[in-house]
Amino acid sequence: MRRALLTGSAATAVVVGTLTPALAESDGRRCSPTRGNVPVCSTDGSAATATFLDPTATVSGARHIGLGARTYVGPFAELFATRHAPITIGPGSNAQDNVTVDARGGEGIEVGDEVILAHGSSVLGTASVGIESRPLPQAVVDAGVDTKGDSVFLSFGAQVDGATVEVNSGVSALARVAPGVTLPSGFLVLPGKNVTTDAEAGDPALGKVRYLNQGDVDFNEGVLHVNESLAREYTELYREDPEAVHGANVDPGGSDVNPDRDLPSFAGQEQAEPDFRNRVIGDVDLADTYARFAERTGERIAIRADEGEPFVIGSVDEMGDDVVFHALEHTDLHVGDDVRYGAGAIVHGGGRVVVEGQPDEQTVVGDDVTLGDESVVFRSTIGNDATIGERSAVVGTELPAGTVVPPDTIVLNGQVFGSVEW
Amino acid sequence: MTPLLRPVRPAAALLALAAGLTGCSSGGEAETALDAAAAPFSATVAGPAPVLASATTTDDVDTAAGTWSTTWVACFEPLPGEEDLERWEVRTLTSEGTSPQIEQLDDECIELQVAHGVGTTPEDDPGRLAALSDAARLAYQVRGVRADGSVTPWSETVAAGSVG
Repeated sequence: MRRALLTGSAATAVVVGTLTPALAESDGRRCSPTRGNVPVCSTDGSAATATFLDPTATVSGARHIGLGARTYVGPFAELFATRHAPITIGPGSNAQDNVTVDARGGEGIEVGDEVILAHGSSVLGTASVGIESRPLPQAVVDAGVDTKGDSVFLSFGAQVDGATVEVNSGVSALARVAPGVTLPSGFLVLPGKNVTTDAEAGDPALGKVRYLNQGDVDFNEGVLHVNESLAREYTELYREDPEAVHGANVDPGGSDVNPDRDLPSFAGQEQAEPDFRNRVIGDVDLADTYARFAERTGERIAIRADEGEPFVIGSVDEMGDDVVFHALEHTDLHVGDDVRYGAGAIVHGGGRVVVEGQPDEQTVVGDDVTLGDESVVFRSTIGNDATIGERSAVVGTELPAGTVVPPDTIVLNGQVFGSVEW
Repeated sequence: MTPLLRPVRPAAALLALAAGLTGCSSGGEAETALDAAAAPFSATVAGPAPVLASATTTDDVDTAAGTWSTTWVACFEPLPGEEDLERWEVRTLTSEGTSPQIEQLDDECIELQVAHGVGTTPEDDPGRLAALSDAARLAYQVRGVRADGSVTPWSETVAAGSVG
């Protein structure tokens, strides 16, 4: 691993809609991310318990937002609150890249402790996630699931719109919980499904949800640990060099699996570009020069190699706004040349399930691939010239060259699972 | 490679397997105690890494209860010369990164329930495909701990649901 020097100059965090002076506003339990309390909230708090907001996160109505300790808010996340529609997020939760929490259309949003809002997910209107609970369904009890803590997971592009999501539940990729619906404890919405009634939310026989299992709980526990450590590591990085958490710059390192701070490289040249509008973090090897990459890419793009091994990204044909790259530690992420990335596309690395006699394939996107707006590629190999339609997800799949996945289609482990219903 | 299939043990056993991964039998106090028993962060790393010996996924159907479950078991073994390992530790990797938490295993195997549902035909349940796909977001590495406190390197990463 290359060790990088901390370098750069930078803008400040985006905090709008408040004239609150730079005061440390913290009641000991919740911290308001006002101008003086970003990117570390509270500014003078211990790194072990601090909440970190990436400087590109947008916070509106900061005085009406309360963040618990050890919360990580990723690049280009958006939190919109008003006096009549406050937002609270509990300790140990996280709002990852391009997450939207927008209470303005309702009476407020409550997000509980240990809630994971994964890349591109959203919580809108009057909503509650991870606050309310009820006894687990008998099938989950009978299966012996040990929920350990009480967690909730909203996956890539999932949406909770004016709804209640109870603790020990989840919403899969590109799925939605519609206004007025309560998703009970012990159930997960299946990928792409739109749950519009309480009956659908609590009965797997209706085809929209499945039961929580032990793997879900263990996954959540791991993700929570990782993001709590990110809050701490980015806080320490910021305090060491405030400019290092801006633009194209180093990852925080600091863990036993990723101890070093690495700079991204453009056309083979390692460089920090702290004034860059997008976030390119850590060991990312881009084929383009910085100038070409900046020219070909849109806004609010997060390429975050703060845990994973190098990302190798070929020459970009076109990259829309709100694109996210992230990857599992110890997995490669290779993207070919002349790929077209639609707005909001998510490319996420991670090893595929290994079957005896078959190679351990990592996430690879071939040359001349087209990724539609809001599409998701996760733990998959995408052949050259393939097209993934708008709001489609390809997960755990080897997609042959030239394949066309229609819009609004969910592909899991090589099988068409269903459509995106909303 | 000989699969080390474990007998079908529904609720109580699955609770035990969860305990195996968390390194505790139930409450937080025990977890704290066993976490403290994990090899220290600075433990000396020496010797070869353990290797995956077997990994299986098994569907169990309880026709009387009208339920089914899918369990993944992955067992590791030390390379020659490392047979006297005192205990095994595991760490979790997720699609978001590697958890800093290291936990103790009861033995050299990871056993995890990755899906369950109502009915007697799991292959017809769309929830099973989704659950198995979700399980693969989760991966593990194990290592051995010797009596002198030194540890082996971490094993290769094995995604939940892998078979081999």
